[in-house]
Amino acid sequence: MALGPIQQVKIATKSIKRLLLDTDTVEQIRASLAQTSCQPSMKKCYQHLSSMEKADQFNQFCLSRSKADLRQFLQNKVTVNSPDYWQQVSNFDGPVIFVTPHYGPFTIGCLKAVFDMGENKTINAFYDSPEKNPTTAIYKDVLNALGENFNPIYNDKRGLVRAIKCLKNKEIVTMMPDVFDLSGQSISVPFFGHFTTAMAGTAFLALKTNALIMQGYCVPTKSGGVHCVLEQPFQYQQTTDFEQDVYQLTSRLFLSMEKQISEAPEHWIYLRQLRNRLGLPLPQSENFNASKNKILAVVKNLNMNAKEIEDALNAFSNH
Amino acid sequence: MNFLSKLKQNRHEAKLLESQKPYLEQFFVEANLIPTQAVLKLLSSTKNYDRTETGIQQPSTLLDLPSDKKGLVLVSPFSLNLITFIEQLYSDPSICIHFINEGIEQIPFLQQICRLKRVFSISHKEALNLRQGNSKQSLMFICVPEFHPKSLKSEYRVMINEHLCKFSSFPWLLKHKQQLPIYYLADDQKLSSANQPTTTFESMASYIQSYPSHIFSWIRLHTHRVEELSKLFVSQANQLEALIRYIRPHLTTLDLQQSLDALGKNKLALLSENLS
Repeated sequence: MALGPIQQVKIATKSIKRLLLDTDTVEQIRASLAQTSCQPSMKKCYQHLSSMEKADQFNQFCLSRSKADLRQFLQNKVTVNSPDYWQQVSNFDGPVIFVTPHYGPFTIGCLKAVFDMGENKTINAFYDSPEKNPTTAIYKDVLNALGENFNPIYNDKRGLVRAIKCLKNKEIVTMMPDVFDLSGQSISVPFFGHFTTAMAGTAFLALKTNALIMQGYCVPTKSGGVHCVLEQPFQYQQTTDFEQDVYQLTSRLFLSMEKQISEAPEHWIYLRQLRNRLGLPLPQSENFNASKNKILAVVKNLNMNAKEIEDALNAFSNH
Repeated sequence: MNFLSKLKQNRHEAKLLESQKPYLEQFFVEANLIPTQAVLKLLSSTKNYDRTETGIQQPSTLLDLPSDKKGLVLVSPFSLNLITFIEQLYSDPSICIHFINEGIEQIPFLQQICRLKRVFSISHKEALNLRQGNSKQSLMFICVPEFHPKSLKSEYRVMINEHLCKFSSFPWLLKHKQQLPIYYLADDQKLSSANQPTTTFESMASYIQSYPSHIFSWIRLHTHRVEELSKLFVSQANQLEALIRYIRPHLTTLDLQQSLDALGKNKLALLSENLS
């Protein structure tokens, strides 16, 4: 029987209770929730911490059960909102990129793909190596829990080459562009009324291979399963300006993420960091003018034509 | 200040000091900070001069200034050494300290120092334009290098425990503008000439490496690391690029491709220059 919010609060684990009593943690979550236009209530804070714990529990479940049990779980308790989209991807005669942020039990979504599509297409998960990010150490074992049709690809120069090779081989690569990493692979795109750092690798791979892109979000259900919310798969219509295409495509991916996170922010692993990830406000926002001097200082630091930028900003505001 | 207020203040300072630890650990894997009590005692002693000031001027034995010099620029990291020096200096009622401290937060003990009657927090611009008011008071500027603005274009590079850091030349600009001598506070509490910025920063790095537990501004020093400055720069350049790409489709007469090309080229050049 599904538990209501009050019952859930009553049986909150010790770790969640401890975190809820930590004012810094709660303040960070609430400040981030406020950015999503979601009510920054204690209930929402609890739901976020609870969702994070559930995601861990799903990973432990995958590691502790037999392959047969896991297959049964994936068959009966993991659903997709659009079987047509799922089938379209499975049948696509070309490279496919699954895009999901670090949202809910995303590893289960990946396992679902391995389970349903693995016979036709190998699933490759692209992520930071455990040496770079120790939290990913668990992924390899979890995603390999079915024992076949899956490969990890670590995010480095060789990994990028390998990902292109897999895509050209018409395999599936899963990508997670919401990692916050100020490296050469990062760009900025609009997100919750500001510019934020985004990984450009997904767009880069999609454009280089003309892959079919499908975004998805894994949401835990009250009955202990997982429901995968899929968006319509698409291939990006490229122009002659590759860098503008990377920006536009990444912006599109983040717009989708913004929509999902606005509806149910509690499942996003990086929710707590959202406030600190939001940089310059978008130029149509009220707060933008206060940032103009900083922008022009950066323009000068980069030895760019400050007048041209200033004229452009004025032209935009008069538009 | 009553007992409870003092207790609250001391707890706040202890918390601020503790908050420096993660940044200290970026430089020194195994290092600790000194206990708060040692510094609080020093600050309490300094505050006593505000209570017992008699107006009798005594020549300062710490500052061996020529008679025509009415002050100096002092360069020092924010440290136990600096606070000890301030405590000694403050005993001279002719000393007026201008602390260049613009919107600096989360630094333990700083606010208590700046609340002293003859210590004034001023901005960089104010420091450059300040004129001596009272001829009987010495005009003394304290420049804490890690409190000054910095970027990948800051002029001076120095290694602090194998971390390349950059600092601005502001203290020397101030020296030039105010026509004052410039000194560095050495760890034996003596003033050394700071006419050579490179040597000054090397001395500073040496002090920091020898006494990391005596430094209270790790949260600021951390931001002077070239690695951090590069990340900030990349973030700023990326956001500027995104802004240009965002507004470009709405502009009919301006192309902005040249701006984007210049941005990309100069971003790479500045990063390569600093990371080589």
